[in-house]
Amino acid sequence: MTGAKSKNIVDIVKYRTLWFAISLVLTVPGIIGIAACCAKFGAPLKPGIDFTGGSILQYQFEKPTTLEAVHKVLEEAGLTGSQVQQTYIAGKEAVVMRTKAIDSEKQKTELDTKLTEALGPFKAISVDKVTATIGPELLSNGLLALLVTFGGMVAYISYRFKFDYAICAIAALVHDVLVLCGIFALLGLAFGTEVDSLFISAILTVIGFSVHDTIVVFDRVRENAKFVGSKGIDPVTKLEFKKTFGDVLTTASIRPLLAHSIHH
Amino acid sequence: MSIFGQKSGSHKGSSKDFFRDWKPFAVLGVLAWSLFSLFQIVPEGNIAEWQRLANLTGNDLQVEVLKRVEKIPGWDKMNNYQREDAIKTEYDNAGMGNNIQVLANYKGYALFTNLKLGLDLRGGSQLLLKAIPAPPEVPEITPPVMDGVLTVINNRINSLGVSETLVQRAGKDRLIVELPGIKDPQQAKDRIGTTAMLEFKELDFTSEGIPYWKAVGLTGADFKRAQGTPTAGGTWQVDFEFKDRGAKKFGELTSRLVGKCIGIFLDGQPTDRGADGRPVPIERYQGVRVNEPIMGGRGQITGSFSRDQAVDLALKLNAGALPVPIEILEERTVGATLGQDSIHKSLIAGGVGIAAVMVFMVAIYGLPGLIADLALILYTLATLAIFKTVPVTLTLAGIAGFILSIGMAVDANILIFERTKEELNAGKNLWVAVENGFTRAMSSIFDSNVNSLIACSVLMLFGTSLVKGFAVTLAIGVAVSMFTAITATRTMLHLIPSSLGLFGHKTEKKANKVLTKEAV
Repeated sequence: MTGAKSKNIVDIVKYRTLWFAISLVLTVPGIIGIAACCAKFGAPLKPGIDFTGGSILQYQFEKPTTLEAVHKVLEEAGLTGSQVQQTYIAGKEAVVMRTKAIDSEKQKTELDTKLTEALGPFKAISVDKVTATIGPELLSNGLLALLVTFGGMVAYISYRFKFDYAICAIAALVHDVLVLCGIFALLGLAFGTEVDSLFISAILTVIGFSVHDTIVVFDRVRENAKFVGSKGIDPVTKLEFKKTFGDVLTTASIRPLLAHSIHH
Repeated sequence: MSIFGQKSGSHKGSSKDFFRDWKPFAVLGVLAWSLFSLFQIVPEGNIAEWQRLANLTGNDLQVEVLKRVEKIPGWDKMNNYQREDAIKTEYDNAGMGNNIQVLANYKGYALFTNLKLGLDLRGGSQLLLKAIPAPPEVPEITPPVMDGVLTVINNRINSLGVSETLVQRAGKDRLIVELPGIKDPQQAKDRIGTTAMLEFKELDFTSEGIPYWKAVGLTGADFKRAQGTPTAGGTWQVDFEFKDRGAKKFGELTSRLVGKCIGIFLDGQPTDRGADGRPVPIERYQGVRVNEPIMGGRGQITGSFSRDQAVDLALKLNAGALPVPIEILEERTVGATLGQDSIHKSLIAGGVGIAAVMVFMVAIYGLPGLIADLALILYTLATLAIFKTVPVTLTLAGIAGFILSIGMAVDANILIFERTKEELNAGKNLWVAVENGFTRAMSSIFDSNVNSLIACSVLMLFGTSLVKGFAVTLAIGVAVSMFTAITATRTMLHLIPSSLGLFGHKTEKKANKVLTKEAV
């Protein structure tokens, strides 16, 4: 076959122990991180306001102010345990306030009045409020979406290939999702990175790419298996490695940019 | 292993095939359509005019819109529905001014596109409302109740005078309200969130002699119209006029209560305002003294209102009362500054992303990489043109989906190139290699794209509106990428002269048999 002729192709099957080791190095800390998150936040990842309910207010004060001053006003308004951070919007300083759910409009008006009294006028850059009622619902919807996607993909791969192919594909994507979740669990522990409903779409994207790559390999195996028998699997997989490598590189070049646009 | 083919006049035959093929024409057609629908050129003055209209709000916009619709031929003969449609169209036109992206100016003309931008990019508010059952009258939220809520919310939002608003049912008891470019979200929430149930009550006494306000079955729903007007004292009041049935009832009530008091309550609170501008406590509320029977069905609600309060109340009364109270479950408001900032960042992200992919493709594949880049440009234009035509509202998540779909589009090209390379290695000539490469790559491209579409459709079904934007752009992108891979890349690969060759293969005198499904 053609692939066997190329000299520069890495024989991946030969080094399978190495790949398994890399995989373990990637997943094990993540699993530990997820466990630690469960202990600390009561969830596998640090949930954002989309899932817990809460408010994120980004305000730009006309006069310079300190984070402590903002924090003090929040405490006075009864929003204990709030986080205040600084950010830059369009090159100007702004304050990000993460508070527990502000359920009533009255509470919000009071907070705004207090902030104006203490720190002067401000411009609301963005206001995100999710009530505690809807948070868990967004989460269960998100998880349901993941399960339904898994089911749909298993059904389709079983139809186009075989059921055991589908199981392999699912195993591969669970691995990929686990790596992503592990990284975010660690980020959550280290920097307080929260996951929101966009994270669910990020997971689905990873699933999409994972299955995409798996299918490319399957397709090749399906095509050649009948001609070369079991001996042929090796060169086939070798070739695929090269292809998938290109894939991974292109996607890898896009992902940081993607993250940049999401986390504006 | 290599296959030695026989000599053949392959190239002539190929060219004939090439021109008999529909694909080159499809490529040119799509390119022309994309450019035509994506870009528009108008005098600069027009854009300024649209933007002026887009900056008007409230009454000014309403006046301007009415002025314009009245000039529409046949306006006099239109029925109310047609008129409403015309007004809506005019508001949408006004909204277009907010969505114009000028790309270039030349000699007084402007080249622009108008992709519809979502709330997070142009600024605005999105609210998720929930209707709450109000037993005993409304023990559960039924579809007719929601219809009532929808109508009232719609009326109130229209009274805000914001263009391009959207009110949409979501599930059994919820509404999504979108208010793009709104200047005062707080005012909007106040107007949307209150029930605006105006009730007339009479003062009665319990058996123990304790006074209380008793409902008489006369409410703001019986009004024909209401209007805020100034009083001599510098405060404002709300003039109202009852419908016939209400007028009769009101006449009977006032005849019976001459010399006594009628209480007017809004959402259970007296309409009178204290010194602090809030409703007076119910125990201190005196009501309004009835001096004589009022038979004409007209009256005033006096309560020391400010101008804004009176106008607001009148608008709410005209819009009608909500059949049940509502709660704001979720609010997402983005200021225009942040929107601008996000657009800027997205453009950079998109531009750098595409550029990086393009450079990568040329670096790896050389000339075919350049072809993939051209296909990618066609892909980008076609996808954006579809976004504009549908129209798809572009949000940050949507742009993320689009950028991601670029990755998928390039993937298809990589698969095709790798397969073609193999065919060339196997000793096929250029034409055959390209054709076979496509045939063989197509099954994996198709299967993987179907899987992406499965993920997208799940997101559209279960996702929040935020995530739906992502799913829609990704799905459109995946579909378009199938098209550009099949047509554009293939057509352009065939255009490469055999003398140049592909992937370092210049061999010409090779087998010329197009692959059938059985042969390998």
